[in-house]
Amino acid sequence: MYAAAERRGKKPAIFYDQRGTFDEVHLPQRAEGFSAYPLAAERSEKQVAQGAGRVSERMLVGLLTLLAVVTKLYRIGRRSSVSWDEAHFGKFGAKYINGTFYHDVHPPLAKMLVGLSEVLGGHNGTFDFKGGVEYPSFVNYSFMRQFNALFGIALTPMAYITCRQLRLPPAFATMAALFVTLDNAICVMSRFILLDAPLLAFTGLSALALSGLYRHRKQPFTEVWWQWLFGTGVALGLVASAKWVGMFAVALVGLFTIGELYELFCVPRLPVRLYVKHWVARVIALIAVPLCIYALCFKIHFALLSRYDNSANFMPMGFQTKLRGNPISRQPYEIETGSAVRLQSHVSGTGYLHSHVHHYPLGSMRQQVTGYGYADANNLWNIERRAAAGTFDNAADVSASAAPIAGPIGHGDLIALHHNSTNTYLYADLGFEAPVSKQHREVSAVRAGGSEAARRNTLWRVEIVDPERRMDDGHLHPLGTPMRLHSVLGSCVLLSSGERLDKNWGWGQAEIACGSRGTLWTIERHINKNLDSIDLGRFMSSSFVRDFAVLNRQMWLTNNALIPDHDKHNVLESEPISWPFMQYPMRMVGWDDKSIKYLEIGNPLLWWGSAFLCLLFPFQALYWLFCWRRRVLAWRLSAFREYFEGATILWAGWFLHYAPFFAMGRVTYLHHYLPALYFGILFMAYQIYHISSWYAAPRIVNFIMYMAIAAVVFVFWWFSPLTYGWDQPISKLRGMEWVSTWPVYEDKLAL
Amino acid sequence: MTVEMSQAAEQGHRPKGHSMSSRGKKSVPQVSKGDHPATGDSKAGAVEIERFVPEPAYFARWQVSSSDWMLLLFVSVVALVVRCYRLGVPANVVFDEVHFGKFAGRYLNQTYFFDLHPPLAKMMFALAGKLAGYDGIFDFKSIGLDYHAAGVPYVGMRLMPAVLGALTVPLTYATSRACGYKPDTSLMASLLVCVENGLVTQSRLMLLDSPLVFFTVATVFCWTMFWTLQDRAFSAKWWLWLAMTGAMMGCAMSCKWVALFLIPLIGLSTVHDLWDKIADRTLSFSGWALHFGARALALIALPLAVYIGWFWVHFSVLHKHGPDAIALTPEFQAALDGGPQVTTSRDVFYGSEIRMRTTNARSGYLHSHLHPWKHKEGSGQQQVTIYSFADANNLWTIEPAYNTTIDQSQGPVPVRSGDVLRLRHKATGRFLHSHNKRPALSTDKHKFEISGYGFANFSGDSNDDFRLEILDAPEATSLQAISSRFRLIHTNLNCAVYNSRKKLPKWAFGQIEVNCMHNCMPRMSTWHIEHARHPNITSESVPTVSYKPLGLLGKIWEYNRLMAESNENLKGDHPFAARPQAWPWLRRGTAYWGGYGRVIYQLGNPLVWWGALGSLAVFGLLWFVLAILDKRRVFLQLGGQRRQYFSSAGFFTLAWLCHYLPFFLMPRELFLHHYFPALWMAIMVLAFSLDLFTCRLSPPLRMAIYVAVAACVLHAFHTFSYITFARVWTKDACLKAKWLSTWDIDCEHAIGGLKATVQSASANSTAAGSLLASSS
Repeated sequence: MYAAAERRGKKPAIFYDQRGTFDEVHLPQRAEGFSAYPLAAERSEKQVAQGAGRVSERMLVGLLTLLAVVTKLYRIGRRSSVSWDEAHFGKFGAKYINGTFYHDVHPPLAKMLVGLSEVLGGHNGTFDFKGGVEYPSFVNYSFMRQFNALFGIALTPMAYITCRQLRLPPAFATMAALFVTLDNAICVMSRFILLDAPLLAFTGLSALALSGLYRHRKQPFTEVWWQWLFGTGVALGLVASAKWVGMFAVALVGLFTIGELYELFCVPRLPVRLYVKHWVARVIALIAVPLCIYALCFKIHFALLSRYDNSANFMPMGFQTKLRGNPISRQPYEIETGSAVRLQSHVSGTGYLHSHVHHYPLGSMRQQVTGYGYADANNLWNIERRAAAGTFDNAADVSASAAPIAGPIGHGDLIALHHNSTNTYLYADLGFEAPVSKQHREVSAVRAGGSEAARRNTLWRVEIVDPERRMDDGHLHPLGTPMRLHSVLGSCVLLSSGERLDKNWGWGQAEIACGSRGTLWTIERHINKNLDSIDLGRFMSSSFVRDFAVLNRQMWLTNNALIPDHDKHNVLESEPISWPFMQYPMRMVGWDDKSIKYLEIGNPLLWWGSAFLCLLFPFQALYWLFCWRRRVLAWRLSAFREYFEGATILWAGWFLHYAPFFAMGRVTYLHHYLPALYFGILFMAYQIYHISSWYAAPRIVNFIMYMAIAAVVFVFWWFSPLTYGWDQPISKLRGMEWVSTWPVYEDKLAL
Repeated sequence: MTVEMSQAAEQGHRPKGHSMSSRGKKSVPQVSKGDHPATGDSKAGAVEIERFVPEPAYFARWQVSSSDWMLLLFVSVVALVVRCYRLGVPANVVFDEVHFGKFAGRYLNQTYFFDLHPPLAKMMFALAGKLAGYDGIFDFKSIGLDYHAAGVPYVGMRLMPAVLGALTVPLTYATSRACGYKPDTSLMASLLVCVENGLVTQSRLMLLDSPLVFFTVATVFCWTMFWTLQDRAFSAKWWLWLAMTGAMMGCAMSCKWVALFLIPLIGLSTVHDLWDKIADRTLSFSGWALHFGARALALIALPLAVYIGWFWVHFSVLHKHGPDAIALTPEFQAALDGGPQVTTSRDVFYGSEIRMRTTNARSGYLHSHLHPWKHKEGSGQQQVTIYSFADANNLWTIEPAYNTTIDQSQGPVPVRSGDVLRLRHKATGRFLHSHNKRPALSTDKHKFEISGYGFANFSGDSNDDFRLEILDAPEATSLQAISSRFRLIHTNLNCAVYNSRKKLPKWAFGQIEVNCMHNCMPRMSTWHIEHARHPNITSESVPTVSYKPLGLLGKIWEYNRLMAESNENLKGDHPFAARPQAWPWLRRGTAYWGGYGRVIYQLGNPLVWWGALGSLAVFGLLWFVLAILDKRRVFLQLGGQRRQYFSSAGFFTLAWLCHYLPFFLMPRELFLHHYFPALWMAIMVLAFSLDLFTCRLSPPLRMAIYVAVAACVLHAFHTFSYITFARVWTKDACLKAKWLSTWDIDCEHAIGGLKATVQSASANSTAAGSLLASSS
């Protein structure tokens, strides 16, 4: 329409499209100080349309993939010892073979894939992957690495197709795929048994699916659209189940979807029913499907890991009793006066109710009561019933010195807790504030037989909270009857404050106190010689949703506990700010002269180039916004949208995979940047094509492409000794330290 | 959100050069039956063409009439009377007067002090005190002290915030008028501000909030005046109001940092304005750049200059060293009169006695004393710590490494970077020592204990050896006092002497832990020598060095960093602290003072607070609903008031958000009075909303509604005037005034209460007074 108007020599008018934005604008060539881009963006459209899906293009993709196979698999088994984090992930993979429960900060999918590679490689699950140890003959580590490298290889064709969907011509899509293949960091991280390659592959898959969804956005509810929509959902499920970094891909698709739904909302007279259908389709495909895949991974994870391990002690009791070889299933059932019990707090990090012969250095100066994480004799308390529920009108009438009443302990009974090894009673004192959390009252232990032990401060009322259905007979039982202990003094319920006592007098154990909001306790161990042990497992129920929620919460807590010490230099860690320009490449293995040395160093051209273009883009966008507002933007709006939306998707992918790391308190490593880098590299190829074709003739544009490819190939080759392993003294490898902070030859900050 | 000042439709003042069809009258873009792909409808319909003309920013112009002047005078007088009524009661130190009265005294006797607020408001109190005859001797030590007995001219000092508080009332009237509202609505707005008990309480006492609110209101007023001159850009008046905005903003920020929230407000408003101006093709690019430059100058550079200027006054007045100054860097202290003048010989030799200090933290000096380490995994050898104060136990002597000697026959040998040496503690003779033992507090495997080791007739061992590394200097650079920044590396363990900034337990006298850390980053392991003296060199001619005194900007930078730090660390447990979610609905007030049958309890006028909160909700709801309807091409015009209401109330809602939401991100201790700037913004929205809902009514009905609202508000004001003006009231009346059960007014101070009868003449330590141990 614009061309026609121009032919007639008329100024094109301004059009509103259906979305209310104007489509074509008046185009002064140089308007009042704002330079305008030439209308070159459309040039490529013919080019782009040609050749998609042709045989020659498939051959091209095949060749690129072949190159990826060669670069990823070349001498992959060269270092025959457990390298870098293979020590973790190889070990976790083996757990799926021997079925032992373990706890880790990452979701299970990628580790289950490692496990699969071990199964296929014939490993029987007995090797423990200790760091630096030579692989024994029965572990086919080469195969495991090859399996893992497949994910790295898959990035190459996915990069190609993604770029084609974003309307890059075949030559430049090839360039992008070559860039992805020839980044040394992506390459080296794909060559070991790590989670980074699956994560990258699933991130790439999400990007691919999103580009497909974007390409078909104007044909909603067609078959191909549904395919891409559900493909996106599946990819998101996979990427989030590999590592939580995958959530950033979810955020990317989420923002894209919100944008789409907003635009649809602004379409006048779009039937409400149709609009709702748009919503429902997306909610199902992009929320329900990924969530199901994520949950399914955990379901399989639980199904495979059926043997008990100590690391399962934070899981719900019902879950633990289902694990083979667990130490808690066989216990006496009925808690009675005279039973010795170990009380486990429901507050994570507290452990068991504990006391020892040391005294508080402040407050009442009485014997300490703490929370301690490890089972020992000091965690055992004898339960003595002093009054049964219903036998007294008022707790104030019950004497603390009354003799223990035999029989099972029930809800509402008044008990005293006698500490076995120090012969003391659990004692609440409203007169002193707790040692750390000053809003709470102090809990201590007092000598049996003393005058204090005869006070009512030693009496506690049992409140059973939410017991297991099959144990709900009003009595206390091990495992299945969480309870609160109320001091009869009032407004004083036994709790774990979550604080830690001083290291010097309290050994850094957890603070136990009492206050108005008590915490829950479960009897984890019950010892009573007069009673027979039975299998409690049949009383316990477990629900997948609860196990799933508890495990994810614990992963979150463990993750947050990985806090770096900023005063300490650690050659492995790096700050997010240093990533885009790659200030601190990471040594993956020991750096002595004999060992085969691998450095996680990227292809500097790709890292620096993508960082530069990504940082430049917001300023470009601001400039275009400015021009648009002033109506001097020299683009046909539809062409501009075509370019700008593609660029924004890739740029947002980079940004969303990078920026959140600044807000994270936890330890960060260079390879956390790789998903962002993947988007950055595609963005770089996209920008090289578009920016050069705005200004230059096609011949020059192609020349630029060839030069870029040649330079990247050369630099990849230059750093390849560090990617494929260097077995001689590092000083013999010259010309690698391009930047003074790189720890190639020496670690300058180390002491 | 629109932030443009709007055009009062009635007045009909329209800027030239724009097509001024308001959105209400403008024909709605007609869109034919959509062929949007999402609908699946492939039939392409005709698209109607319309010229794209962005709506220019709307604004009111206020021509001040004589009736305006009369009304301004009237509200000023009323406000002054309300603010100054019984200003002398109580004649006791109330709440934070303990701080701000004291600081005024410090200005008068020119002694350095530190406070976490910028200086302007405090200097105004000092000026008021000086004019009233305060001599700076009374030190406002605790709440409840009697002013009469001490002869302090406190009424004169309280007059300053009272006058500023009174001035916010006419400014409110003027702001409302400049937004295009009629005198009746403007009068209503100023009434709501005038009888807001919280604002009145605040302005009757020596507190910083009254000046803060005044300058905040003045900034917004100047900004609205500036907007009325949209069509007269670069005229003298335009420049005047623009510059006034910047100057008032600078003053507000110099009172309290809460005023920093003006920056996003004025900033967003400016961005909106410039965004509109981009679209104005009659304005050339250089013209636009001129607009941009003028705003940058007046709204960024000018406030900064004002802020720096007040600090310049502050530091010029406070030029004497005082006890508060010890927390400052030595460079800062060197710039104060009477501060410790550190002058030391420049060169450091083997045999020199030195005192070394942590460089990047104000922790103190490397220290040792005759007490052993007592922690579990420790060696039991002599403690080595960091101590903040200079004493003889901070002195160390530099000696050559274990089993080596240095030929000193040619005179003292200078210490150089890379040398391995030992440090002997001068008072006890022990060597600085490290070994494979755990430090007292740090548990990490890569940290080692540092101790003092050695005894008579024992020459030590190689664990006494440390390598000196001067930072950013080549090998063998000679060590110089003060200028050389260095690290000490233990040669055997390869760890650096490191300041862990952790406080040791009582048995180590609460001093700071120092340990030896492997792979230590330089920041907290950097030291410098503050004192060096060689016993054999007594000549007067040795070169000496001192700390370079900080310049003005250096002082301002350090002082502001300290302010930021203490703001962050302000985590008290004041009984009347309140989190932001409790403010807008007035969950609870703050007890200020009680005695003699009187109580001062900081509480707002509940009707005003709740009305303001409700009007914000109304605005939010309207904005949301209309935004959705707009997208569906349904345009509601709110009786022609849409642009007027949305531009003005929108601006003030944004202002409220800017002054309220950021508090949620602050972990520090907060109080109800932090809400006052936001409250003023919300009151404006209340007045404008009242106007919106009554503008279509007949004038008598509208008048009746206004009168009814005023009556209710005045009734509430009267009810709570007892706790505002510290009037004597009875316990019964007090209990009846507790409209919400969470208002913990201490009625026992009222007549008939327990504390009222026991009250002695010297209300020195009333029960309330002890509760009111104030912070902030």
